Amino acid sequence: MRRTNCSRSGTNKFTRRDLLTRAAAAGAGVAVSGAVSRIVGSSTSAQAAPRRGGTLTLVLSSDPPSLDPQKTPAGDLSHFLLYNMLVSADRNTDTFIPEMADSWTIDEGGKVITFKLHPGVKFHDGTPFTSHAVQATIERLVNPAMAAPGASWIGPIDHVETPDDLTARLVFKQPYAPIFSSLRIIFLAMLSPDAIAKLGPNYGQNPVGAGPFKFRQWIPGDRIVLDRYADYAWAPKFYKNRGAVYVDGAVVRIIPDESTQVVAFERGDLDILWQAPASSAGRLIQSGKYQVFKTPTAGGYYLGLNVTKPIFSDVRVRQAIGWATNRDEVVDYALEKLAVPMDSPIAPTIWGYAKGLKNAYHYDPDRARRLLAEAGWKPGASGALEKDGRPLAFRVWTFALDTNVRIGIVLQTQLKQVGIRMDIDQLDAATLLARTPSGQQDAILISYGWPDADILYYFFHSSRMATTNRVHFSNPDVDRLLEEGRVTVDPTKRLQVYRQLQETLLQQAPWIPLASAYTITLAHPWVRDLYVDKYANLLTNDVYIQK
Amino acid sequence: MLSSTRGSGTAETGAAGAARPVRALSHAAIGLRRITQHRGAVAGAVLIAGLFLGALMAPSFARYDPTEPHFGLRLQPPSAVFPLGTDSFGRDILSRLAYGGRVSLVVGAVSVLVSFAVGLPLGIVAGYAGGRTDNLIMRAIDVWLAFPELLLAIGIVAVLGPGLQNVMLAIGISGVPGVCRLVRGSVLSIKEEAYIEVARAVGGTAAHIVRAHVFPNVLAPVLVLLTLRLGTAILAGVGLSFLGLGVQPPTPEWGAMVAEGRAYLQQAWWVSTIPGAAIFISVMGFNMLGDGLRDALDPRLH
Amino acid sequence: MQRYVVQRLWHLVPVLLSVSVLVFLMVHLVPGDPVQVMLQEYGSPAQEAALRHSLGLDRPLAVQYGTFLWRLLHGDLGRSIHSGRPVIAEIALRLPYTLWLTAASMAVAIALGLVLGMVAALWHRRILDYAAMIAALAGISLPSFWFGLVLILVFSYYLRWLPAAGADTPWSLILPAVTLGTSAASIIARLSRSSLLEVLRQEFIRTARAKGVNELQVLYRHGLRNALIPVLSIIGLQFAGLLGGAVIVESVFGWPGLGRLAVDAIFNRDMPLIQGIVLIAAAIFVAVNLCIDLLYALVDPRIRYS
Repeated sequence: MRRTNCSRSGTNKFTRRDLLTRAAAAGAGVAVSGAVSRIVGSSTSAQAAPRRGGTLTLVLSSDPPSLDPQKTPAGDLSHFLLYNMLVSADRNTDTFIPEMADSWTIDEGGKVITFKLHPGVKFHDGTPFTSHAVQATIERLVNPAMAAPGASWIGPIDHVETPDDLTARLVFKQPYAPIFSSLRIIFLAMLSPDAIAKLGPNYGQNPVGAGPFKFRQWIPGDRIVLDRYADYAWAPKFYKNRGAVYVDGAVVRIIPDESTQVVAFERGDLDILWQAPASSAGRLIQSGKYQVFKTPTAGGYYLGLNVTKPIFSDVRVRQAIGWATNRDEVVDYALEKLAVPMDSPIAPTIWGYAKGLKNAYHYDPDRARRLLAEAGWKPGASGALEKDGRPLAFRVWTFALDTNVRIGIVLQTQLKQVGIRMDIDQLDAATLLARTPSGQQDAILISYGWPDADILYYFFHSSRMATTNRVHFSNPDVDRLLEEGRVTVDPTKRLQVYRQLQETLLQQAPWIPLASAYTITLAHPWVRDLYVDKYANLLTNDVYIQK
Repeated sequence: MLSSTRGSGTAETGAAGAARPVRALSHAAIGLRRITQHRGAVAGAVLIAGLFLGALMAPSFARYDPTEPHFGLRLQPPSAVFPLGTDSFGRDILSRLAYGGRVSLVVGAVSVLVSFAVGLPLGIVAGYAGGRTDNLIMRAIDVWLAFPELLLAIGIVAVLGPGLQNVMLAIGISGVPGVCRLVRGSVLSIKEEAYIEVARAVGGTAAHIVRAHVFPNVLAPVLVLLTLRLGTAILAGVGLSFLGLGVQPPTPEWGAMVAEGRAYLQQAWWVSTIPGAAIFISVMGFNMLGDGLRDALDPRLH
Repeated sequence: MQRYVVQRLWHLVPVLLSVSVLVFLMVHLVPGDPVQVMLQEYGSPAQEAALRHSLGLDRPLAVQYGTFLWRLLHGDLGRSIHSGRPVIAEIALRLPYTLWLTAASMAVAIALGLVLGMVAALWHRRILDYAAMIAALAGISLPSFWFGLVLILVFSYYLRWLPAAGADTPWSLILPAVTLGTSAASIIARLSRSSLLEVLRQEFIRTARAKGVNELQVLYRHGLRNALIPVLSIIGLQFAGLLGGAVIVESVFGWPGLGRLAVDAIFNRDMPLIQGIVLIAAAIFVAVNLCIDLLYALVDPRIRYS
């Protein structure tokens, strides 16, 4: 599939990590659980001085559709090496810190954000980065003719003012709280207006950004070759090295098959194995030969129940499924223990997550059976429960991806124990995307990823039933809370809104949250000073190669 | 295409190497004797028989439910408890192999049936009628061949839904051109035979001639092709499973088992290799039988 | 002969036309919408409409197909919906890799196949015969994705002789070519074995043997020529496998060929790209088969086309 996940079937383009874009936590002082664990392998402890040279070799499962960040549904490694954004997130404290913008102020209740831009920034083509570039980038993003998948993330932007070369003012039609997360998203990478004008539709094949690496060559299906950008001097302040990178360049290899990626990595052809497949990650970690970075994913897997279907119309049935699910088993057997159970539709590392939710489910099959009996389901002939002659059976649609199928199989066994029969249908992404708006499916088993709780708007608001609200859920309380969350700028109040939202969603159970898998990044010992932040971004500015 | 050159033999060549049909039904007994004397054919037949028997008797020697996971006992090597070990869900590989054999055989059999149900009549008509009809049919076959098999498979699976039947349909349909071509080739050479001329001179209708003379003589190469195609069809199913278009989990199927087990090749090689060996033996059996049949029934070699 | 060639080339047109119509219908009838695939879930209805309009997807099917044909006549295959690159560029970028892989795997197939076939024929009905045939059968009975990974593990990981994946050095071609070539090798082996056996039985062979001529020489001068005919037809069929059969090998080895591109295009419902690939593959297929048929005439003087 996908594979929106990607994998060994290798055929689907969209990785769940594709849905994952990196972002900063909004506001200050939000304590986020899930520290980055960094286990250094057999490299020596002596701190050698960084040395120049070498090439960093990375891998992706498929080419990005385009190296133009505005033309791709999700960013990946290559985009983050080529581009920079206005702001970044401090890898330790998670607060917003400057990248291409030095500072910012928020006025008029959140409707105007004024950025002071960092001076002396130049794009790869030599042209200077000015407020005009900010304006051109954002205007291009929201231009309907562009059909940029990420256009909605900039929110209700009205226009961009450029009072002087180093000041850019974003004016919104109404306050848009998620903007603080959005600004870190790849769709808002700053583009060179000169290049936009010159290259037109070919921008995606000849990208010009202001990131630490600049584009050299792209052999589709094989590799993307990037060079060191010597004039780079504006890396975020958490780096020791704020100038040009130490390595001479980076190569992003494209290897669709997971098993082959693993062998290539073990052989040394790849320096870093980003998003190691769960089936091999355990073995590689245990070998002790590599540096391991385990980062939680800002997202997770869920079972989405189509509430318009007769068997799921009764909330007790949905809740029963919640009680019948053993998330620990899902983590252990489907995700090889490289995950955390998800007790809320929002994963623990997403901004807006509320701890200690009262309506959270835990494994209680007896309670599930009681609920089902209450709802009128009685044991039937085939082993599944029955009511009015119809069995409690449904079909779940999922992508033809290893992890999805594994989770499905584990769930199948668990549901069988309480008398529910679940059958699995693997579909390719395009078919699933096309068919779910009409509500043909009983249930879906997929994953999502996003840094901000506002994502729930797309999944549960009644206005999105023809598109992203795949469970066809409509609830006025939920609608109200979702809308409120969007316009509440004060972080504390906003968190409260989302807490209430999560409680309601758990009680109504249109989703059964399952687990949030870790992103495992492995690196050979000769890759020094690599950091992986909590959003699984590779922080490469300090990296050097010591062979 | 996914399966055009895999799993089958020379039968697709058409222009040369097509087996000349046995002359008349009375030679069937001779043919049968030759078959039983041919070592390869017998070996193949034995393998196939073993396969069928195993599939039929799966419930007797499969100790576990093939879809039942034992989460605490994943990736176990072969042992007394699990004679062929367990896979990544702790499911008994022997049981899955046995039931998977059923699935693979059914996929093979039904898809071949579909291919022949369409290809045989088309080939006979094309070969016997000749001229415009032949041309038309062969052009259509060319289009069929040029059409990507995968698109066809995805299309069918997407429209009709995933699952076994549609996989068989997809594989069956993509096998039609090969069958049609071969049958047509045979019919073309039969057409030139003297006894056909005689039958026509005597005033037999086309339908009668086809039924009484062409069809029986086409039977031998058809039989050969059928056995060879069974191997191809099984492999096509394996290929589709790799791309996620095959049977739905947790249904056991050899191809899906090999694909699933690949990720563990370095730590638990049996998970992927054992079903791979099963596929190997089955396809080999079909091919040996088919080759043997061809050798035995080809008058040129005797 | 010339008339035959022209006639065959002329037949190309209706074949390609029918194929393109079928592809067009199929992609439109199958559920899945390239606009949805591109915008995934987050596009607004306005955006979807705009994108659909800019791609011409909101016009009636007949008009869309007509536009496609019109552009085709001017040599314009359109742009890929997914990447925005011109279709011709997408195909041109990958076609060389596919051709190299096909050529290399054919070379492997012929070399391996002929050797196995000869060995089997010369030691007919003895152990070597059976061993060679079983080896040949192995080539087509083992799933290529399994076999490929095993080759990678052995030759790339444990022995470190060859690269694991990718297409940057000529060495990278070896493992994928072997994986892909073994299936055709098996067919060639069996074909050449039977043709060679046939030749060996004939009268003049006995005479030659009686005269003391080296058996190998006999085989070479008479047997190989006959064996060539079926081999040629296998080459023709192999080109048909350009797309489908290579997909798995391309995935496993990360080889940037057309097969992978075609599969991705199908999953993305990228109509212009699918059309482009199918047409080009079909054209190549028909052209190659024509060459093969012409080569038959050269090799076998009995075959004449009127």
